[in-house]
Amino acid sequence: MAPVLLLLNLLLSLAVAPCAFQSDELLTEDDEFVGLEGAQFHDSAAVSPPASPPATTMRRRSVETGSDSDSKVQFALEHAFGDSDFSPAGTFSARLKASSHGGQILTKLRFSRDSFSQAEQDNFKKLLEDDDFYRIRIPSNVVSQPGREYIISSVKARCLAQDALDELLVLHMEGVNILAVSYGPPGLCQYPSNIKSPRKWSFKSHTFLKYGDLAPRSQVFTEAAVDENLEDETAKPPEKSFWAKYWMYLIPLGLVVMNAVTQAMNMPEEQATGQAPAVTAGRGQPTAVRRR
Amino acid sequence: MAIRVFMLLVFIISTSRPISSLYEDQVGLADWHRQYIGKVKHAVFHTQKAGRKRVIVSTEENVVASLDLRHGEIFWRHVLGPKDVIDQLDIALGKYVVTLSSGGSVVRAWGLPDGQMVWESRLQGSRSSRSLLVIQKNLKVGKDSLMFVYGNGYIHAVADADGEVIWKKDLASEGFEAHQLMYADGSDALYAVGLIDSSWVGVYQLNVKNGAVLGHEKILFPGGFSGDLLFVSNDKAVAVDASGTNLVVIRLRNGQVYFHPTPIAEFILDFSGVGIILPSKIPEMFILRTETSVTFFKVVNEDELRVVEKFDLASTISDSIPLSEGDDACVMIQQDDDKIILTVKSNNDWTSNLAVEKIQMDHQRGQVQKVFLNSYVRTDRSNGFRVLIVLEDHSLLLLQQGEIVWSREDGLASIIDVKASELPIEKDGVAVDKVEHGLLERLKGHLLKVKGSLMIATPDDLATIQKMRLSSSDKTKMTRDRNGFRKLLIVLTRAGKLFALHTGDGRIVWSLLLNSHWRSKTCGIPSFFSLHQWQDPHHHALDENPSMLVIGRCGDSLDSAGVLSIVDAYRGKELDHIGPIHSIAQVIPLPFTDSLERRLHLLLDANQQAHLYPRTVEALGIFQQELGNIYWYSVDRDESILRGHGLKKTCLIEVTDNFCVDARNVWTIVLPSDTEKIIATATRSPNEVVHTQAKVTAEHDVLYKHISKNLLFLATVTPKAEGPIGSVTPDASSMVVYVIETVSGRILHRVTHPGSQGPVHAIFSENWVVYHFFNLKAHRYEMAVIEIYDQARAENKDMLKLVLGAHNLTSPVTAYSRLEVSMKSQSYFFTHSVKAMVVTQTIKGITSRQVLVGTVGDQVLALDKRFLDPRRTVNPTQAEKEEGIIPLTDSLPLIPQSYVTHALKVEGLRDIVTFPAKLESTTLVFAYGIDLFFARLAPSKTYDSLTEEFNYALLLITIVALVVGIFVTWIWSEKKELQDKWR
Repeated sequence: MAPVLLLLNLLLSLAVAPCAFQSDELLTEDDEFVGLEGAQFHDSAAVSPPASPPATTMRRRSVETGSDSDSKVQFALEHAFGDSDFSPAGTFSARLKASSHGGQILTKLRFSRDSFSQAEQDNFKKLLEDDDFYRIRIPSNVVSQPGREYIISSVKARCLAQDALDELLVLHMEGVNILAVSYGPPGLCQYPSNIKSPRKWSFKSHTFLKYGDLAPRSQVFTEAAVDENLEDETAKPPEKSFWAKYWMYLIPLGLVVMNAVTQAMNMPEEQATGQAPAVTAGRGQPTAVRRR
Repeated sequence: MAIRVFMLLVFIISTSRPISSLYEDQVGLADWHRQYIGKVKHAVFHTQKAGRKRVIVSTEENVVASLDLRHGEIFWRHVLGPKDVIDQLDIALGKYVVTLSSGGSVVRAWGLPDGQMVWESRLQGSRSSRSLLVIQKNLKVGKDSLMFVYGNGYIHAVADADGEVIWKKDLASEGFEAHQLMYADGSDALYAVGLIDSSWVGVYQLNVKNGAVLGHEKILFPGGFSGDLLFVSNDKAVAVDASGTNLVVIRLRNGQVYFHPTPIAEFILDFSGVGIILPSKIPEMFILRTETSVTFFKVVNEDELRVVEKFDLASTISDSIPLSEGDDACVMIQQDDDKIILTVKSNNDWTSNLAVEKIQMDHQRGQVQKVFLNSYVRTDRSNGFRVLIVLEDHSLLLLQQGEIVWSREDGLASIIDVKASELPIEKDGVAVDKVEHGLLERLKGHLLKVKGSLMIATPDDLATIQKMRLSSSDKTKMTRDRNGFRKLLIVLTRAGKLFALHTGDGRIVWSLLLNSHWRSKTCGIPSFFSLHQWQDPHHHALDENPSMLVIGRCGDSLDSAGVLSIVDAYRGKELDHIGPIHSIAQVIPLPFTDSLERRLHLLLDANQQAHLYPRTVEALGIFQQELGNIYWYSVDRDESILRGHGLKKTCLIEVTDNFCVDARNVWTIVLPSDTEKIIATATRSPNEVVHTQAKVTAEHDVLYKHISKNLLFLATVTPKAEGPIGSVTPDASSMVVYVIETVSGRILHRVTHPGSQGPVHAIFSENWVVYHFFNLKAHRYEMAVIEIYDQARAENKDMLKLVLGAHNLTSPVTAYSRLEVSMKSQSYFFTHSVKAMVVTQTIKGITSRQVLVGTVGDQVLALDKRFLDPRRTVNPTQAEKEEGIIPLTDSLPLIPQSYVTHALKVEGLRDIVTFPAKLESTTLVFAYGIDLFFARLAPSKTYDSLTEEFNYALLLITIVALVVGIFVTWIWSEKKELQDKWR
């Protein structure tokens, strides 16, 4: 199983590398297109599985012959069990690369996690029992470590305890500063009712670097679009329905018509009523006569 | 005939359409507006002429106002900006009100009768200094009448009539600070007397015509001075020396200065500590305050001092006013329990009093802080006095003839916090219908209304009808109504007074001055902090009153001791007082209540310890159960660090305190302090209700809103861009916004707005954030929206899966799991800058929401959330149009009818709050600043009830007409049938 994974990782990293390379070229070209930069920026967030072949780094370096700023940095991950003190638990290593904005950014993050010692295993089991926090910390600046303050993140120990110890670290970066680390299980967190201890005491770590996005620019409509809008607005009034426009004329008209109609109806009625007495009289008499 | 009537009715009904905005006669029906001015600091009476008697005041809220002396109403009022502090106020030429503001750099003249600004002069200066304004009545240079303004180290001579600066002179050399400008009538010389480095007395003699320095003198007083020089006449001043134990009389004669120090202990036998001369303007007299008393001194025989009278500390003295030739009067106010004693004294004869008045005063007003005296000639030709007093609760009262003529509750101009409280339930035996008198009145009212609806009412009748509608008893009842429109607004003011306002008409139901109460309980200078709902009984609504928790501190710093008060919301009585206790840095109302329906509150102190209130065993039991589920965050703006906190076990302090829990740091986010500075945060309101999690789109697709109470919106800008707009170039500034999950400290969303800067106003509601900022590149304000959708639930749309149970709808939602969310965002240009922004709240969250924007013009604009929908496109499809998606435009429309405040202005608008009514469609809006404004709002129209405007008469007439029509036609047809049968 493990070799297959490794191979997959290898393939993945090989696949990623040219992608990152392409983005570099675009960055230098597209200085003016601020809107695009965000996307590029995002692409450059390196997805680095635990191991990556040295071949890619070689290639990268050969490409970036111009920049000498490509240098290696290392920083430590420290952990604590509950409220205990922090102790080293792993090392990140990454490359510093000059960014198109000036300043440096981090790429090619690699992470080697120390496996738990016996004492640490016991500590961890105790955390599981107490449902307490497993805490990690990393420096907030990778160049001048540890920066102003450590970045701390905590997660309930039960969340990490899957088959092995599963963890996902997303480092939110701004240049060489680490802003925050999202730490936790890659999937769902176990429910406290049925906590199980991990069978293997080694970490399956997934690490990501994440840079911020650029906000989409507010759409400023081009002249044409604005003109269209204007036209639309000017064109809107005629869109009013016929009824809405002329109701004030139509109502009196309707009333007049109605009046006329009823009068016209009344006329025959009157005529009819005018005739009717005669008829009834005519009819009445015979009946009266008949009655008599 | 019946057809004709019927057709007519159909016509009438079909042509009447629902109206979205307000009719003129609907103003004031569901809204009210109250105008205030704030705490008065200067007052000038204008009563000489026969016209309207008025008093001109300037206040701590930077308002200049002219008040009617008879009723206390505002004739006119101007609110200067928050930074334009008024330093001096006077009347020039008998027709202009002159204000000196902004540290002596702006002089303005306002027309006395109407308040129109006549002129404005901006005065240059070299350094900040105190500001003085001297308006000389009979000084003319050429044709111009002059006033002298000292500010920012310069003396300016300004023409009264047009504000032209005739001359100016820099006196800032050698650190000279003028304390008094003096001009003797008829001479050519203006004297500016002041201190240099608090030990030299400097005198400048200037030519009034051109500002040329005629003479300059400075004399060292070896002892040095503390505080100001107080001038008791044109050539004499008094001051206290640097040690605070000697009184110094300073005499100026022909440009020469003489000192005459005397120890205070000579006059006051039990004197200890330091003496302070109180600022006053009484000829030949001054007032010295020591630790134990207030003493009146008189300067006699050039430089001798004599004690005139001694008082206890709680007395206030006004400036003196000229009474008759060579006589002046001033008023002194002393307080005795619930009475204030007002004594008017003549300067010439201090032993006899011109007037003594005792006035009963409300306990809830506190001590008198300022007094202004004015005299008038009575009918019997003797002198009468009226006195304007400013009290501790910032209210303003006019006293005359031993009575309170009028009072203004100007403390309401500085509201800190607002909460709404329900009114009592209507009980049997409670006489509620007091406002309507008897059957006859009622019938009359109905008759008038009928006349009105039949359009045969005279203008007088119409006015009566309108008045009846506005003061309808329904609005002002002191009980709950079915729709939940009637509530009590409990407001806390900066002066430390609680008011309960009725939402029907804005009247004050009760008030309670906590300030003096707290002070008496060993709390130095209380400052007020916030107001919380302590007890909100629903199950016990009949026998328990709701109560409020008022939180304050003894002092201004963060680590000064805290004080709590619990106040009954119906009666305005303090039920409990706790304190002084630990410091209070943050207050967290927990979503738990005990059996008495008291809400649990967690108070965090400066040492990151959490204290639980109420301190009962029951509350502790509830709290212990939920201990592991309580998280909060703190924002360190100076360091640009966010921290998440959880709770540990009981505090580790000497005395075991079960109600105290230590906090632990769960996560930390460190923002780079060189590029990001936190300027705004926003969270969801804790009591917001969301009706549905799903949002069905036009394509019959479902989007699941990510609804979490633990989301934080955060905005940061480049530190350089913290200043006002325009202080940085677009390239040097950028704004970053975050959406952060506050339990685990994950950043869900981070996006940079290049070339943008603050101020940022943001609101977080349901699953969306709307924020307002300035785009430097486009030179326009922008409003952006972010909507957060849950991706983890996105697959639950498959019906088959639901049937087979292969869904995750029942899986627990936990903040520790990885969150799969997607963001949609869009931004639009917006014309206004914003003072405050809130979102409407309704009781069930079904009604669509409106964003209420407090505009720069102090109005409240209601903006439909539909305009801020990230799914807007330029050309929406037919289906999208049906869903209600508006075509995308680059800016948000400002529809004049959507101003909630219609024609009114809420001067100095600071904040807006909304409360849900019981009627789902309706929400209550309260906007406050210097003014108060309250309105009832229906964001989607009142779809669940008939409006008050509904024409029941028309409906009734229609029904009656139809019934009559039916009968008539029935009779006709019967007749006809009969006739046909007879045929």
